[in-house]
Amino acid sequence: MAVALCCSIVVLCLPESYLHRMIYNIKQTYANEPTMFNSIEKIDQIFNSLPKNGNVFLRFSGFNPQNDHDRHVASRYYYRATYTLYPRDVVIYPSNDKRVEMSDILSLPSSVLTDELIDSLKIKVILTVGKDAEGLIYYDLKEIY
Amino acid sequence: MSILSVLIYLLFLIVLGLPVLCMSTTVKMRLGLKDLPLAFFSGMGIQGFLFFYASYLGFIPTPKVMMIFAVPAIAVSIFIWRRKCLDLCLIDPDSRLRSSALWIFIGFLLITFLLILYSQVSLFYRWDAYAVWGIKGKVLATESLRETTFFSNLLHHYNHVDYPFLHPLMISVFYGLSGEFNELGIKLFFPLSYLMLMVFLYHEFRRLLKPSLVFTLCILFIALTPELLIWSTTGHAELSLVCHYTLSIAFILRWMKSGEIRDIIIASLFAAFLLFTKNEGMVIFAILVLVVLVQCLKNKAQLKKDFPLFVLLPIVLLVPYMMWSYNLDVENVYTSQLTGAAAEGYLARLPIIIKTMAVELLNIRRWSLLFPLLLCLLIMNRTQLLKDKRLQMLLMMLGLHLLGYATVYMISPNDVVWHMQTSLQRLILHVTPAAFFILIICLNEDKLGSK
Repeated sequence: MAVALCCSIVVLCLPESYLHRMIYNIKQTYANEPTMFNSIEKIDQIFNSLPKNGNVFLRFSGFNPQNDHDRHVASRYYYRATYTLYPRDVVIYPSNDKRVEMSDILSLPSSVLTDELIDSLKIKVILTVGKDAEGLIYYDLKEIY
Repeated sequence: MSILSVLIYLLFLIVLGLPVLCMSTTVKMRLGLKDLPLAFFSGMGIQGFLFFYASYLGFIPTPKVMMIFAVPAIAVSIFIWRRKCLDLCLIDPDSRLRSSALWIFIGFLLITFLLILYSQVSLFYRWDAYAVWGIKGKVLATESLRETTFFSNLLHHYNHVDYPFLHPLMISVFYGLSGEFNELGIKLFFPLSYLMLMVFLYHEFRRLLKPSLVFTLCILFIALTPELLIWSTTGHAELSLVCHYTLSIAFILRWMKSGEIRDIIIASLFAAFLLFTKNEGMVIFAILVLVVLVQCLKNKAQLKKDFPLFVLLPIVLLVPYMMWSYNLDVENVYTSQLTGAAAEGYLARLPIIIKTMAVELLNIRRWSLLFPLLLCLLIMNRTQLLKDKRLQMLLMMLGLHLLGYATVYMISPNDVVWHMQTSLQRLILHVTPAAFFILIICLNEDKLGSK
């Protein structure tokens, strides 16, 4: 029994184990090297750099509503924005009285954002997260005065 | 300021849990540092309910509201303490640190230190941690349930607005105390919860297994379960669920031995906490109810008194939450799928579910040798083990738990492969408390283990 338990403890310390990965990530972070957390930090940097007043309208450009990966990436941006910018509202759809899927949001025409809507939802920033032909993500920021 | 907030919050949780701690002991027992985890986890659960009711009535968590809750907790504790004439002894002379215990505690502290470092290298980075739990922590720290529109906004339905509140309220009370959205501060509590869980398990297992080399290795083996380590840093509610489930099992086992009503009350309290932590708590609660019922069937007095108490206490505590949740326009995606026409489709999923679950349980990278070891021990000692009532109960819990989750996957509206890929590890983590207890009881029975 003791041998079995010793073996299993050794398994935990192997190079591919979680424990090993955990230590690797700690080392990388304290050495300012890239880690698995950088993607979220980069997204946060964008949201934290936005002007500090008013609500934010978040829209997407170049994302394919039928593509799983695109929907996943867009939903990550939206939920992270909602979280990071709270208590400011992140508006993604003109109304909040029905459930919508990410594919509905990605299919929204750009004409949906009217002056009336901007006024009624107190939007001060329009942030466009776009995907170019090569699949790279870009951002476009527009402040409303 | 950040560390001070963490210390004050830790003290607050322990103070709230003191009445439960005092209730759990008898005159003969001495309260000491070993009992801290019970106060900590009780405080965590009691705090969840208190601040939910407060939020329901229009209050947000502030230091003043915390004081209002802490003062009665201290008064009740003093009352029970004096009535029972309890004794305080920080380190019980009967269980002074032996050299093996010292190594175990050094092991726990080293692992916790590693987890603290890991928890501090990033903010909440997993989707569930920020989109399901963290956001609600922020909302409830700034607005009460009565005034917020966050939960009624249908665009937030993927934030799972109907999920129970114990975990987000822990986040929000800490934010309320520290006066800022201090994510790294609250992330310290997850490794601390892990440490408390391990200290509790150590003392609980000492009741079941004599100290030996195998005991030392076994407790370190449990403490190093990879998935347990991972979920002790992320900010998910899984760790809270595991902790409350562990304590509920431990007090049911104590109740089976002592027959004391205080043990079943505490087991019931922790069952209420796990119901208020995650929806999966409903599956676990149903299993616990069945297990307690089976035990009570042999004793009419227990059936009339202990069983109703075990079932009703969590339900009474949860009534306000159920009322609030009922008024939300949220459809249960699982029960709405239950139609006769779809039954054939459910059964077709069964082979995939069984295969994926079996592969997961045998995944050494995630669970080390926990489940294979358990299986070997059960097979090797099957005749004497199956006479053990505790083991029968725990095996029933483990089996029903896996069966319950398999049923959820069968009726899931999502693609079953995707659903299992994204959630199975966490669900398997929920069954580990029962597996840990089975392992220890098996080792106790096993001749090699008791040497």
